[in-house]
Amino acid sequence: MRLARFELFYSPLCPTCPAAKEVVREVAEEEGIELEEINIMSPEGENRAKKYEIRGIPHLVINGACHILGIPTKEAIAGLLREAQKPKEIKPDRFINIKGEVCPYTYVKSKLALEEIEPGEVLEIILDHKPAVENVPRSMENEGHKVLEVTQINATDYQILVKKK
Amino acid sequence: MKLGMLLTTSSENQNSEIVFKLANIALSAGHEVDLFFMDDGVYNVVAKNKISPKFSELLAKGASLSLCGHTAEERGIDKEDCLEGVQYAGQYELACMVQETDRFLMFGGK
Repeated sequence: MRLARFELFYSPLCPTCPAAKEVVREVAEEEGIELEEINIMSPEGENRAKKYEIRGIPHLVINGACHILGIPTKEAIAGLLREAQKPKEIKPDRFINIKGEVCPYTYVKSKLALEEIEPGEVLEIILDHKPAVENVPRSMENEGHKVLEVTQINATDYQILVKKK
Repeated sequence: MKLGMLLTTSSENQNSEIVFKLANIALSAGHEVDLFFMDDGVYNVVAKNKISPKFSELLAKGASLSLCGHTAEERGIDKEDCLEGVQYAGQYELACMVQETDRFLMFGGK
């Protein structure tokens, strides 16, 4: 299952924000979801609000993708949460499990696997070497391929989806 | 010109001072400098290390600093332990650096 994350943008001056906070906090606690409350009046909050192009508050962002403006209902959050956790429609054309491999073999084996698929096809890589979680996607992008997703699938393993250029 | 240097010895070795001085001179002369730290060389950019302010100075002057994440991890050095601005990279980046730089110098040995 994908780990969910809530980001609630608020302002200390906003009269409706406390009600939104109450609902979101309740859902976050019930579902065990990480909640971050971001004050848009702070410089950091302002930057992050810009990133999501947030124009009004309270504004809830689920997993960096689904948005609810205004005071959310529990049902609306539950609906979007299901949507956000739905596995995406990416069907890998090739799969490699390189758990136990360390750098630079993580990159070498990923590159060799990528050579065996056609441009536009997707390679799924499963690995557990932590530095490689950043290094493999970075080097793939440097080579011009598109990294579709990097997901932590359990305590030790990561899934990387790469589309060949 | 782009100058690349690989440092694989820890900070007590004279190599660190030589790399620092060479990089500093090259930067002052308007050249680009890429440094890569591997094996015991990763200790040079651990923020707590005595020599690290010198490498911070190079970063501030525009040098690019990267280390081998695998050899750092094996030594118990996390990203958070390193100087801010140092890329926690890998052998791929080292290979790119060798390819892209006009001169590449290696400082290793004991």
